Amino acid sequence: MLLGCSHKSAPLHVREKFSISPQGVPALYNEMKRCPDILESVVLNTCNRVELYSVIRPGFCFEGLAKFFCAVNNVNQALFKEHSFEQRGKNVIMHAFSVASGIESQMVGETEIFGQFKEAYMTAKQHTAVGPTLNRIFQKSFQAAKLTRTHTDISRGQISIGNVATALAERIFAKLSKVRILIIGGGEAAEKTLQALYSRGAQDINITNRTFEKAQELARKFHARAIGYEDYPYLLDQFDVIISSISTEKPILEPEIFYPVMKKRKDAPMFLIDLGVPRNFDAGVADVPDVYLYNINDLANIANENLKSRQFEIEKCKALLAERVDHLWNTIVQKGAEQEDFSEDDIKKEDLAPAPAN
Amino acid sequence: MANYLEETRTLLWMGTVLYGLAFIFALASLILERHYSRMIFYTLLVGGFFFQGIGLYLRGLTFFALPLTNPMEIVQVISWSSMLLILMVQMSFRLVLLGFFGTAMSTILGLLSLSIAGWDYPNLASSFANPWIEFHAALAIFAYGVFGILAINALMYLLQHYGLTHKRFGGLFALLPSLQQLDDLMTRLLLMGVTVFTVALFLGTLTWVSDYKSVSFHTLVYSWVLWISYFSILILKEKKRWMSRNVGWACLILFLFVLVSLWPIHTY
Repeated sequence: MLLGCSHKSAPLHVREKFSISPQGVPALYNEMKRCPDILESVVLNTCNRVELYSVIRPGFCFEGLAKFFCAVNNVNQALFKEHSFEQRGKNVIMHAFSVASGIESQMVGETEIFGQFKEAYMTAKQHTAVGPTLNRIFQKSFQAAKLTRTHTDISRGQISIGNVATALAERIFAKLSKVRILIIGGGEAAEKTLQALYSRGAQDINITNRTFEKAQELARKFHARAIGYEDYPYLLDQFDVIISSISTEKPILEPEIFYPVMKKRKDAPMFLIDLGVPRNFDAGVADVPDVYLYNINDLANIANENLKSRQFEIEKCKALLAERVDHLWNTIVQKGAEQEDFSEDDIKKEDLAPAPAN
Repeated sequence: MANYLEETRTLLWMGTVLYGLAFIFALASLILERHYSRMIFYTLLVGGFFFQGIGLYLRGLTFFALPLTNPMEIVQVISWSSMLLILMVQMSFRLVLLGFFGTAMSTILGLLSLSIAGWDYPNLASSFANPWIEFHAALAIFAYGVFGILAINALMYLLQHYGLTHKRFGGLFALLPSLQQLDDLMTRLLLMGVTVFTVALFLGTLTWVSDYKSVSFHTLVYSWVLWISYFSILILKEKKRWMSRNVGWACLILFLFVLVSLWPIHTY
C-alpha cells in the first residue's frame, strides 16, 4: 500500500505542512514499529514528495494508515485527505519504479531522486522497517531506474540553466578544470551556474561585483578569487568563460571591447553567458570571431527543448516498466514474498551504485 | 591475372559494403536520436577494414609491392590508411563520431574507386623498380591518408562551430567532440601529415635528381604545390595568423583537391 502526496497532488504551501523534519523520520519509524497493523514500511521524504510505502495486515485500511500518519506528524487530517493520493497492489510497484526512474519528478528524468530513493530505503533498513516485500520492490526499483536511463532518453540533455551552461562550456573546452572563469555580479542564476561549473571540475574561478564584499563572500563559497570591479575590464582576455548577471539598464560590455580582447587571445575561443535582464552584453558581441554568446533566453530554450524531449520519453519508460511490474507482482502474489527474505549482502553492489550523472 | 584482380575487387567491394553498413547503421540511429550499439558499429567497421586490407594485400602479392599501380588502388590505399589512423586515434583520443565520418568517407571513396570504369586496370609497368620510389610512394599515400582524417576532423570542427554559433543542439551536434579537442587534433594531424609528406617528397626529389625519368616532372611539381599548401597552413596555424575555422576550411578544400587531382596526375 502507498500513501503520499507530491507536487502533482499538492501545491508547495500545502506540501510544506506535510513535510517531515529529519528528526521526524526516526520518530515515525518508531511509531510504526509499535503499530501491529504495519508489517513493513519505507518513508520517502523529499522536497517534492512525502510517501509512505507499507505492507499492512489485512483489514487495516487507507483511512487507518492516513489517520496514523497524520497523528504522528501532527498534520491536519482533512487537509491531508484533500491533497494526498493512495495506491494499492500492482500500482504501488509501478509508482515506485516510476519515482526511482525520475518519471514522476517535477523535472522529468532528474537523477537526484534516485539517490533520495536509495537513502530512504537504507534508512528504513537501519530501522529494521523493511521486510521481504518492500526489500524486493525497492531493489527492483533500482534496477528499473537504471534500465530506463540506459534504454530510453529520459535523462538525456540538461534541464536547468546552470547545467545547460556547463554542457555548452564542455562543448567548447572539453575539460573545465583548466578553464578560467569570471563571474560579473551575483544573483541566484549566476550562483547556480557557478555551482554547476564548480561541480563539473571548474577550479579557476574569479568573481567581481560592484560591492567588493559581496564578491569576497561568493568567492569564499567556491574557493574563488575576488577581483575589483574597476579592474576586470583590463583582464577580460585572460578568461575563457564570462558569466554576467549585473542589474543594468544598458549593456556593460560592447563589441568594441571584445575585438582587441580576442586579438590578444589569439584564436582561443571565449564563452559568454549573459544572465542579466536587461542584457549585460550587447547583442553585437556575438559577431566577434571566436566568441560564443548565450543569453538567459537561449539557455532557457535549450532547457525547455530537453524537457519536452524527456516528456516524450515517459510513455516509452512506462511501457518498458509495465512488463517488469507484472512480473514482480506475480512473483509476490504467487510465490509469496514472505518466503524470500533478502539479507543486506543480497543487495547487489550494482543496485546501490550511484545513478548515472545527468 | 585478370581473374586474380577480379577476386581482389570482390574483397574490396565487401570492405566498402561493410563500411557503408556501419555508416547507415550509425546514421539511422542519429536520425532517430537513439543511442547506437558501438559493438555493432565497430564490428562492421573493423570487418570493412579487414576485407579492404586483405584485398589490398593480395593485390600487392601479384607484383610483390604496394598496390599503387592505378587510381583505384591509390584511392583504396588512401581510404585504408585513413581508417587505420582513425582506429588508432579513436583508441587514444576517444573522439565520438570520428568513426562515423570515417566510414562515410571510406564508403564514398570505395564506391568511387570501384565504380568508375577504367580506374582499375592491370598496370605492371608502373610497379616500382626502385625500392626508394616505392618507399616514397607509400609514405606519400600514407600522408594522403593523414590528410583524409584531417579533413574529417576539420569537418567536425566546422560543424561544432556552426552548431554553437547557430544554437543547434540536437542529433549530431549533441555528440560532436569539443572544439578544443578537435582543434588540438587538427594541429597534431597537420604536423604529422606534413612531416610524413616532407620525408616522402624528399625521397621523391632525390630519386628524381639521380634519375629524372623515374618520377614524372608533373607529379613532382604537383606534390611540391601540395606540400607548400599544407606547410603554409601549418605555419599559419602555429603562428596563430589563421583562425582554426579558416584552417578547417582550408584542410577540407585541400583534401577534396587531392582527390580530384589524383586522376589527372596519375595519367602523366
